[in-house]
Parts: sequence; C-alpha cells; structure tokens
Amino acid sequence: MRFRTRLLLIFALTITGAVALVTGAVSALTRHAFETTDGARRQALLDQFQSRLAEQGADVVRRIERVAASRTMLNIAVEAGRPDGDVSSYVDEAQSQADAASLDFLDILRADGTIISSAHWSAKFNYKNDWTIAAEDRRQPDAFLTSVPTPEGPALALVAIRAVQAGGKFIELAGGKRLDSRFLGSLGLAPGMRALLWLDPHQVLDATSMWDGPETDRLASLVDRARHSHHAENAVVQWTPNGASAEAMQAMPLEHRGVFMGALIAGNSLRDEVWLERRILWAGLTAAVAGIALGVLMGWWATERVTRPVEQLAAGARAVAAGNWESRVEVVSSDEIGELAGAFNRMTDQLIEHRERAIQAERVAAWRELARRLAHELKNPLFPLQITVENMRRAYEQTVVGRDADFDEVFKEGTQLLVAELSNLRAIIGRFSDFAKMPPPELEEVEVNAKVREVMKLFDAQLRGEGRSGVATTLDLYDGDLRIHVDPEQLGRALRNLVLNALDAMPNGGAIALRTRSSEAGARIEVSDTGQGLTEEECSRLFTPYYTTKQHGTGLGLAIVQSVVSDHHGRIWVESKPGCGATFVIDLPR
Amino acid sequence: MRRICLLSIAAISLALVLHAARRPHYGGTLRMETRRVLQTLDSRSLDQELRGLVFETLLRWDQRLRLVPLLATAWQADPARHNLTYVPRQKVILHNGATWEPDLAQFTDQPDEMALARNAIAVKTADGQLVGTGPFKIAKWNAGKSLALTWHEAYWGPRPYLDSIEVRMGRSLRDQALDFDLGQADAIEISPADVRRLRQRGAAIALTQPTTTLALVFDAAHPAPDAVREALALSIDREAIHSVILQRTGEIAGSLLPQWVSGYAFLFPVTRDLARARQLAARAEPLLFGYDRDDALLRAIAERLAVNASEAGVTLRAADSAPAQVRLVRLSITAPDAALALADLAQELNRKVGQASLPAVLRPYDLERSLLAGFRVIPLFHLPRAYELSPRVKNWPQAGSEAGTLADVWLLPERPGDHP
Repeated sequence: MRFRTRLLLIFALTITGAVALVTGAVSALTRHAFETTDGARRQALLDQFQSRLAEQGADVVRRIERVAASRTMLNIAVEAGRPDGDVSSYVDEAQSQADAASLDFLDILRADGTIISSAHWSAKFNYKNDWTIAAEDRRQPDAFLTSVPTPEGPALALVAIRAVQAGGKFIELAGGKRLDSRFLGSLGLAPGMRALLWLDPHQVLDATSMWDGPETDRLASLVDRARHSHHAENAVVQWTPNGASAEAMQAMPLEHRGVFMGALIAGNSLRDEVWLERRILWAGLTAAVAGIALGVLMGWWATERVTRPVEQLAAGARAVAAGNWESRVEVVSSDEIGELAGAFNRMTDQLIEHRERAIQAERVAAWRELARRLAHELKNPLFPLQITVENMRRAYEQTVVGRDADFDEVFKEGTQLLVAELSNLRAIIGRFSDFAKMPPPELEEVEVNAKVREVMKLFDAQLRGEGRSGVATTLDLYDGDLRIHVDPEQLGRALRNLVLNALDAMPNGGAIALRTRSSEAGARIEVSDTGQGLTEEECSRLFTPYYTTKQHGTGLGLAIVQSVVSDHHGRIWVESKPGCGATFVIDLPR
Repeated sequence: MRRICLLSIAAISLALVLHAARRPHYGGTLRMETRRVLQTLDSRSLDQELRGLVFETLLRWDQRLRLVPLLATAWQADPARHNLTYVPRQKVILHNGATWEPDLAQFTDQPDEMALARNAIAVKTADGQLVGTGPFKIAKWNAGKSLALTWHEAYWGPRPYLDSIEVRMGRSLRDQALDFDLGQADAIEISPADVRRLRQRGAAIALTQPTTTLALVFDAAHPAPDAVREALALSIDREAIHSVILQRTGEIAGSLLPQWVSGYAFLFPVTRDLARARQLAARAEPLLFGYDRDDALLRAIAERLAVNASEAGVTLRAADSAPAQVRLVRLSITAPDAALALADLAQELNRKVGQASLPAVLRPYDLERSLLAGFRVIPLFHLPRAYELSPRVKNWPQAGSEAGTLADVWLLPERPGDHP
C-alpha cells in the first residue's frame, strides 16, 4: 500500500472515528436525558393516579353511606330480618339506588352475603356475592380496589361496604365506581402520554374507550413482570417496525390484599426521542461523509505536501541509484522534509564531489603511470643515443684525414643539435619522471594566507623585471587564521604553477588575484587572471597532462596542480569564459 | 222515633247510592293501549280480547271451557263424529247492514275447530273490506297505529255497555304507563313482573289465564349437542325466576301447555339438578343465545338463565348478528283445547326454529312428550296477559271468573277532576 493511500486511510478513519464518537456520545446523552424525563413523567402520572384513586375512594364511601341511610334500605333490612320476609320485590331496588347515587356497582346483600338485588347484574339475585367475601373487606372503612364480575366480564372498581342495621339484623351494601376510561381521562395526560388500564388481555382500556391498539400480547409480558414483582416495571414496546412507534411503558400492579386486580400502564411515546436520535444520527452521518470527503481532500492536499518531496526524494534516490548523480530534489520548505531534501542534495553533491575526486585521483594516477612508463621507455634508448652521438663527435674530432670544412661545419652543427635535443628530451623525460614520482604529501598544519604570501613573494622579482610590464597582483585573503593540514611544499608548487599559468595567460599584462576563503570543509583558494579566457572544451581538458594552450608549455603544470590537490583529497576546477579571464578554484579539506 | 226515621232514610239512600255504583252503565269509550302493531284486520291478528267483538265464530268456549253456541245455535254430530250439522243463527246482520247468509257446506270441521278465531265469520264486501257480525264494528282503522270500534246497532245479541272502544297500537309498556297515569288510557298492558308491585299499590289488575309459554327452543338448523341441551334444561332455577323476576305471576312450566288447558302439566318435571347439569356440560362449547332485547321481561329472564347456565358450565353467549342456537321465545296458547293448542304450538315452533313436525299420535300428552323429547324445547313459564285498569272500568273479564268478553265491560261515568 502506498504511503499516500495509507495517509488517506488514516485521515478518513480518524475523522470517521471522531464523528462516530461524537455522534454516539450525543446520542447517549440525549437518550439519557429523555429517559430521565420519561421516567419522571411516568412517575408523575402514577402519583396522580394514586391521588385520584384516593379522592374517588372517599367519594364512593360518601355515596354508599348516603344509600345506606335511605328509608328504602331500612325497609329492606327490616323485611330481610323477618323469619318469613320476602325481599323479592326489591329485586330492582339496587338499580334505582345506584342510579340515584351515581354508582356503577351496587349489591344489596343479606347478612350471609346472598344478593337481594344487584344493580350491575340484576340476574345475580339469590347468588352469593363473590367480590366482597373477605371478612376484612366488610370491616374496612375505606374504599378498596377489587374486580367486580359483570355480564360483560370482570371490571375493576373502587368499592366500599356499609351495613344497614334493623333490629339486630342487618343487610349490607357493596357498591362502587368503575375504574374505566372516564377515570383515566380525568388524570389529565400530558401530550405524548397515555394511560392504559389492564384488566386482562381482552380488556385493556385507554382514556377514551376500550383500547383498540395493537395486540395486547406485547403488554402481557410487562404486566406479568409487574404482577410477580409486586412493583412497577418498565419496558419499551415498539408497536410497528417503524422505530418512531416505540413507547416507554411502565406498569404498576393494582392489588388488593395481595391479589392482582389489574395494572395501570403509563406510556410515553418515544417518537420525539427517536426522531431526535435519527436527526443526530443523520447529522452524524452527514458530518462523517462530509468529514471523510474533507478528510480525503485535506489528506490528499497534506499528503501531497508531505509525500511529493518524499516521492521526489525517492525518485532522486532511484535516479542516483541508476547512475544519474546529477539528480536534485527541489527544496520547497524549511521543515524536516525540506531539510531532508537539502541533505539529499548535499549527499548527491558530496557523492559527485567524491566521484570527481576519485576520477581526478584515478586520472592523476593513470597519468603518473603513463608518465613513468613513458619516461622509462624513453630514458632507455636516450642514453645510448647520447653516447653514440658523443662517440661520433669524439671519433670525428680524432679523425684528421679527409675532413671537409663544410662537412665539419654541418657535422658539428648536427651533433650539437642532436646533443642539445637529446638533452632537452632528457629534461622532458625528467619532468615526466618527476610527475610520475611525486611523493605522497607529508601533511602539516599550514596557514594558507601565509603560504599564499610566500608564493607571491617568489614572483616579486619576476613581476618587477623587464619585459613583464602591466601585471598587477591582488591578494584578497581571509581575515582570520586559515589553517589546514597540507604538504606545504606541494601546496607551494601547486600555487606557483597556477601563478605561472596565469602569467603565461597574460603576455600583454593584466591582473592576477589570489583569494582565500574559509569553507565548511576547509579552505578555498582562488587564482584569477584577466587573460583571454578559455573555451568550455578547453576548460574540460585543461587538467589533462601534456595538454597546453601555450606554444612552449609541457602540459604538466596544471596536471601537477591537480595531482597535488587530489593527493590532498581536495578539488580543483576552473571557471572561465573566452575573453573574461579564468579563475582556478581549489578546495582543500581542513 | 223521628231520629230513627231519619237514620232509616239515610241508610236507604246510602244503599241506593252503593247499588247505583255497582250497576252497569251504558255508554262511554274504553281507551286501550297495546304493544302490538296490527297491519291487517282479520280475526287472527286481533288480540284475543278484541277478536270476538268484531268477528264471531259459530261456537265459543265459555269460562269453564265448554263449547256454547254463538253464531250457530245448535250442532249435531253422528256417533262417529264424521258428519256435523250446524244450525246457524237467524237474522244476523253484518256490520255493513247486509244479512248474514251462511253457506252451511263450509262448516264441516269439528266443533272445537269452529270455536277457533281463525274460523271466525268474516265476509269480504265488494270494496274488499272484511265485515263481521260482532257487537262492535270497525269505525276507524289506521294500520299499525290505531283502531276504533263502535257498537253495532243491529247486533243480534244484547247491546254492549260500551259505545266504543279505541285501541292505540305500538305503545311501549312505559308509554302505556305514562298515558295511564295521565288519564289518557283506561286499560293498558303491564308486564307480569309488575303485577305484584302494582297490586301492592292498590291498582286494579286484570289477569287472563296463562296464554303464553316462555320457552327455550333450539334451532334445528344450528344444533347443539344433546348433553348440552339437557344440561341447560337441568341448570335452570325456575323457582327463583318465578319468585323474583316474575314476582310469582304465572306458572312454572315443565310442559308446553298450561295446566288449565291440558290438565297434566304437573306431570312434567321442573326440578333443578345442578350436579347432573355440570356433569353433562363438561367441556361444553358456548351456545349462541338469542332473545328479543326490546322485551324487558325476556331480557331479565334471559340474563338469569345465562347465570344459571354459567353455574352449570354452559356459556350462553349473546348472538348479536349470528344465528342463535338457542332462543328464549314466547309461544302462544291459541286455544283452550289441548290438541288444537299443541297443533298450533307445533306449527309455531316449526315456523320459528324449524322443529320437527308432530308425529302421528293422538293423545295430547304423548304429543307434548314427543315435542319435548331431547330437550329441543325447554318450557319455562306459563304467563297470563296482565292489564292495569282504570277505576272506571268495570266487569273486565278475569281468569276464572264468569265474566265474558269486553262486550260485558262498562264504565263508570267520568267525574270532573278524575284526571287532568
């Protein structure tokens, strides 16, 4: 995987992760806030239910006591107390009394609990009342919850019991009000909330009527939990596949003497919460997508900035590895990448420098070997030739007979010329031999400026002599102490050769300038002249032995200079243009 | 002496006043109300109290259930009762003024048949109206709403005491009671369940012999298992219903015909056997139960029956729109003759619930046993018709009394301030 791809992936994953983290955190906080509010609202509804239950219970007690105090009830009690009493004519009395007292349920009971008249189930006369049979209920002064059987099924009611005494006998009134939709409607439900009254899976009431909502099985498990735990239980019910249909439900068991009568279920719609969570999710997704897109763009831009120099470095490295040592990396910044690019460029420069030095060294070594062989090969026949010529001159001088004056003259001149040329040839061979046998430098600390002054002092006489008019010298030396480790003799020789070379380049006068500078690696020495300058080809061949642009030169001067510089692991080059003079630059390590 | 004379005169005057109060008066209009809604006027559709007033039969039953002459003055039968000869009454004038000229060839049925309302004499006039020979003739007929009868001046018998009778139809019991309290009716129907209460208040109540049988009948088209039918029959606590809901009006019934018609009704059991019922009803499916929900008495009894059945393990579920498997119905006793009444009951049962037709047996007891076999019909109560009468109404025919028909009813003269 490419570095840029990895960077892009890291950017995208980082942004996505951050957005997901923020979205999740916001959703969790929102959910927690909603749950807290929901719980409080449901609890408030349950509290309100209990309060209304107490109020209605007191109301039921008042109504039952009013019925019990009526003359009709007294008559029934008297009739029921007689041994042969017939109360069958009162079979409809409970209905009348219940209507008058606005009671939903009323049973007039004999002392043994047999129904004389029932308002809500008139057909139950002569049967035992089966919803107030507990002795505790009969003694209870307050209203209590119970399940009242009716022809339509059991109904949850708030009931009270009162006795009507008549001469030691008594009848009882058991009546109450139904806990139904009206009761739920009186709770004053907040928007989004609803109250359900669970009697059984087939009887679930809401605030308006019999609940016609989705299947009640969804609530059955919640009610069962509340029934068995005997306290309120919570659950979230999702009525349809749509999450907005979810509803937080809290079921509170309604019990009387530990018997489960039903449950009040407070429901709070989670539509707003789901809606908000969806909005947050969508916002998060949108932000994630936007973030990813932005991240990709930013990443692309950033990686472009980061990887392009790296890729350039890599390309440069590959180019260097392929032999293109001239390869360079553009330095566009000053950061680490820029430093890296600079270091790379310096590395390649140093590589080139080292290579050139190596080339120069190899070249000098090669030329030295050539010079040694040449000197050796030429020196061997040269000596017999010189002996032979001298023998010929000696023999001719010893010969008296037959000597011709003209011949003598020719002979003398010829032999003199031969001897002279042989001597000259021997001198050349000697230089070659000297070039080939240059000793290794003996390094010692040398103050460069002093050495330059010393060299120039050798030329004072020459520069002031006749025939040498119009050559000015300029010394532009480094202000400080410029010390390097060199062989002083070889450095002096090199400088002398350069000054001689400059003088030779200005037969008609000019100016010679010597400059010294301190460099990072060591010292730099420049020798400039104002001669006619060199062409590019001449510059490239200038340090080749036996190459000279002068009529009388041997072509070894600059080669010796280069040899010295090379032996000192330095570097020399020439900067020149035709007509603009030339400058020889030497860099020497410290 | 003088004091004695004065006291004697006062006593004689008081006796004369009391005698005058009990002496029948002619004239007046009897205002009746009924729940029934008649759309046609014929001898069958009229209430029993009215039908003999307009359309008369050849014979009639007297209060002792003996056949006595009416339009036929005499009849003869050969020993095998195959050939019957009726002697029509002479100089009988129809309500349209024409003389009744009977075709004796059409009167060949048994004497009992000739006393049935469906065999009453009704002559269709040229304009399509039915006219009879009774003491009252139709003065005004508003189908479904009201009927006005006036006395027939050319009646062959004695003049009825009443000048006219007005009948308002389609009046609920509640509306009738309201009209009665407002003095707008002289005779209204009441529920048998209200008889005792009204009597305790001192109201004048008239009861007929039981003429209706309340019964549970199973629909042959939607049969219920035999055991469930028997369980239902055994679960019913007739005594409680009779004493509480019916307030002891009417009779507990184990038979279709009441005792006064058949004479053997007591032979049919009415005891409750809840244990046996529970045993039979084990794992019984609910029965769809139907009854006339507008009839308060039927509704009260039906609810009690449902409670009784539930106690035995049989669930009676209201058949709202679905066809009921068992229904609580009123069956009419159309004649005081057991055989005729049973035949009509069988027809009514066939018409209502598709019960099997009567087998070819002769004795009414066997006929009834056959009808009740298998608990497809469960008789519950025999109910009379009950009327609350204004104090002005006198000589209303009572069950077991010698009083005859409404023709014998007379009204006390209305005094100012009797009613608003």
